[in-house]
Amino acid sequence: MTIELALEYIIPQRMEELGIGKNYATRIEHLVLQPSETKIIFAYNQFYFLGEDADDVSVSSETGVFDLSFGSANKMQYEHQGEITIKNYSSTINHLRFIQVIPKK
Amino acid sequence: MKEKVIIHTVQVTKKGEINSFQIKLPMDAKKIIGIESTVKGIEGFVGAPAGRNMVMPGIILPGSAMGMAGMPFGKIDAPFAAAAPSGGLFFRQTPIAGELRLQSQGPSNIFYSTDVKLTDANVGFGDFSETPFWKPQVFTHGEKFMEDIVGVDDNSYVLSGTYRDRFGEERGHDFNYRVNVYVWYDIEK
Repeated sequence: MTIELALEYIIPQRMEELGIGKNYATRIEHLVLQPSETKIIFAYNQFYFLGEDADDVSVSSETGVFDLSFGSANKMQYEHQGEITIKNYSSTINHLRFIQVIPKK
Repeated sequence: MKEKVIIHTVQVTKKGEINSFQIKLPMDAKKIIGIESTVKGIEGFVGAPAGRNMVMPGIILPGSAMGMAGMPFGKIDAPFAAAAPSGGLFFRQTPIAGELRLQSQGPSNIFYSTDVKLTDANVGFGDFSETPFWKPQVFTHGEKFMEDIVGVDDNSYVLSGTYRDRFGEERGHDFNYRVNVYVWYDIEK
């Protein structure tokens, strides 16, 4: 997944499928994760699309998990919503880029 | 309208496994009306003494024999305590196999989320007909299996699902078992 692919193709199509159409706003969320930090994002009624294949990071939510070091999953999930738990496995600062999609009325 | 059911099996082999899957519905499916889930192949492990949280007595009357023996039981409130002539009522933790979530590709989005239970550990709760020779079981006291009612008419023929193992994760071992997901749907005759 790249940010360009998500913005140009994946997100518009998903919003159309979900009945949101073009009534949504997008934001780039570039998270700076401190060493071994765990962060929880409450993204109810929102969508977070992972913009890159991030190393040393775990992203898990109700829809699945993205963790390249996690061997007990059969798929990696790029689209997250609800309560999203982000863990930085690295002992150094890590960066993670999401596209936040906020549906509007 | 006519009801039909489609079964999808998820095979779990690792502790804490997160299994993402898709359930393909036939093109004549008009509306998803119900979801059921069962676990197969793990029955022998339920109630085994090893492992934490296997069967955890949670509540017992204060002052009863097991309570005084120093077991880590909680206390039960007076209205419930009064209903216990034999001196003990146990709530047992119902063993959970894992968490199941289903997502439609349409506006319903994530429409179903549940803990997949292995059995009802409290099926005989408050039933004082239990004897040393006879014990209430799910097959004697269980209710008729019914699906959880949902109403999803997104015209989406692929459901995305995620199953997250909790049984193996809590016990720290890999367990092999199957989770059957039953999707009930309406078709037009």
